[in-house]
Amino acid sequence: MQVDLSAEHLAFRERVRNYMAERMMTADFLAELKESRFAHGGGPVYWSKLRQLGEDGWIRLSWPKELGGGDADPVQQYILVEEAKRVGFPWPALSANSIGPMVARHAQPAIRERVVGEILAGEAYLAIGYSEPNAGSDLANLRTRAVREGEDWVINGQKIWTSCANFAQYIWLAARTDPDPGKRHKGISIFLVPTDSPGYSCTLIETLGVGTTATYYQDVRVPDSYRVGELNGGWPLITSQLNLERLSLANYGHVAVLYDQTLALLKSDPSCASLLAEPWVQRNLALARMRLEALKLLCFKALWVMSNGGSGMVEASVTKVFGSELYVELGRLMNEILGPVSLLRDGPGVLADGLIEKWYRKGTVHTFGGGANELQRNIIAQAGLGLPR
Amino acid sequence: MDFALTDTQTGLQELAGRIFAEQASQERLRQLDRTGYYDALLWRQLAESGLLGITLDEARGGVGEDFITLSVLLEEAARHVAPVPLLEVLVAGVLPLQWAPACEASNAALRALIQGEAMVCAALYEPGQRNWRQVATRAIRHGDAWQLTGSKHLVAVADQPGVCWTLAQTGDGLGLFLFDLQATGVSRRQQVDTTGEYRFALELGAVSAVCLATACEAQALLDRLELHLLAGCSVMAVGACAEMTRLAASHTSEREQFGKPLATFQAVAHRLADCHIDIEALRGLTQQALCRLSASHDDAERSEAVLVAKAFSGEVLHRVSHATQQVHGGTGVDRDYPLFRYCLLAKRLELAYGSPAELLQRLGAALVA
Repeated sequence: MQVDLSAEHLAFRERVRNYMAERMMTADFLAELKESRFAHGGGPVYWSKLRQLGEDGWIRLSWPKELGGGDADPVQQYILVEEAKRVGFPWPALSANSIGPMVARHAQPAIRERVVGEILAGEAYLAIGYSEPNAGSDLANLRTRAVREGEDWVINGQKIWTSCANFAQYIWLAARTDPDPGKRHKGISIFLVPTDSPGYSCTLIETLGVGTTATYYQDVRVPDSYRVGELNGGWPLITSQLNLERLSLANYGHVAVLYDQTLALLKSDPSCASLLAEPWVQRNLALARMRLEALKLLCFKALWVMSNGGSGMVEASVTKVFGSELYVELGRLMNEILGPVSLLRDGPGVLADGLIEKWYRKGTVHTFGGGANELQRNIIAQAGLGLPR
Repeated sequence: MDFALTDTQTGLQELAGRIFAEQASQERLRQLDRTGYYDALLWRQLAESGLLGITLDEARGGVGEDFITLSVLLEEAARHVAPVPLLEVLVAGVLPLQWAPACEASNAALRALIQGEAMVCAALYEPGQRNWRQVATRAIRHGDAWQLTGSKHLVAVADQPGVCWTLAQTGDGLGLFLFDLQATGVSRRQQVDTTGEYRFALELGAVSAVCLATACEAQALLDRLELHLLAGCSVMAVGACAEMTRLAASHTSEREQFGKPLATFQAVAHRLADCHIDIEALRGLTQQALCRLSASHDDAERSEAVLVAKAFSGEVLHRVSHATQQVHGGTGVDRDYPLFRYCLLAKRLELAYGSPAELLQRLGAALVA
């Protein structure tokens, strides 16, 4: 039994860590990410970084070999995302990990080479158009319609939580192509909608934490060549979200950042010595440390299962629930130690560039984003414990 | 990364699981409730199957496996609430004798243990003291021989033939001493643990003893033993919690109310999903603790991994125990249904050798150091 990363994986982590520090998180990019409109990408420096990532082969690294990728193993894929998130790089997960490879596999030949080329070169990004005002966890209830007219499809409807749509070139859109109410999830197809299409529009949604968008489709016309996969065969593409991606939603490095920064902050400030001597402070730190260690082991176990041919479905759901709830709890534990000053967003005295304040606001989305924890618990109950539906 | 057991460990798991399942029927366990929940026949069978000398090297009659392998046996024992004191004897009793410089007395004791002829137990606590290192018992030297005088309690299997090691003040720091449980000067009073197991309060009046270690050597043995005991508790917590959750999953899948299985109510299913999450997290932490103990790591890394695992196990034991009782309704508290035994074991493990609150305080102090 051996629960740690292998020497090869540690070396890979070092390589990614150095690359992120030296090539990605440069001063100009850090400055740009502080602007709220560019906080998740989309600024000029972001695009230069994305192209650099593409050029240096990082976007293709996780793609399967037969699609022109680097065939990275599950642990390497995880490390890559973890290291990017650890330093706050807005990692292009949709290009590098989830949607990009699906475009390469399922897009029609007429557009595939061009779009895949743009994605791998870091010249194009995608946003996912699944959720609608009336279709959230029950996604098969979606109402956005695509109607065939000659060689084109005409799309009408509205999507919500279309994150990154404000700077994406394409929306990976789920639309109803068979209006028969008896064919809920069998009447859905996937389209790549260019965001410069007439009739397409996007508005920002400001939230408690991270910004996102709503997108609108009014008689948006796309050629049939922009339909991806089988007609009415969109559902398997939607649900084939890899368990590895679910795991990345609450990966250890991402969650541990707050604890690491808080402890470093306290230890580096001599005036915090008496605070650190308080038993309740030590207890909060110990609780955080204990649960973070548990999250690390859950991630490693899931990766080991996936690396050995298992689906890792239950492990990914377990980790998603544990990690997202820990993210929220960790904010509270660290806020309690740092006190009211941890709630400063900006100005003199602000801690860790506002990270501590932002954390608890951002954390709220993790327990329902990426598959609500209630749905994850259903998966765990049924697939993990064998309970009846 | 490799979370798998070795072939030897898998074989041991199957063997132990079979023995415990065959011997620990509910009917038999009910009989043992009247006699301190100790099954001498099962103990003998473990001896005959070669399971009492797992960690002892071949020269001492054992098979020389590591602590991870022993932990497989502990987990299976907890999974079956097996009425045998494996943690108390094979970890608390045996390991210090195995680690201390060999002497005739400890060799003889370990040989007799492997044969199933005698026990090796540990008297760690004194009345009124939470910490082992708070010791009032005195060891007086007479030439090469020592005599122990003092009080100990919470000693497992001290009514069986065998030896016991304990701590005493030598005038030159703490020492570890081995004495015969039948020796002149040993008197015992029976205590009954929440699990129904007997424990014993021992009065030692000038009891002849052999010295195993003193001073720094003794302290090092105690530190090392403590980590192994804490890890052993975590391992047993995994086995007990997994079985409690399995029982609850099975019960709620079969029992119908309002015309459908209880498990189809999300309020029930989600509570059990939380048990599963807790157990998986605990399993990982425990595996990390075992790996840290079995390979070369520095003391701080070892200690942190073990404290974290044991503290978390205390929380998980508490939560899983109550959640599984809750979804069983009254069935779970019925003494003809096995769940109650697991809840008793869970409570003992939760507090054994350090409660979550104490261990978190130790961990926290180390983190800010």
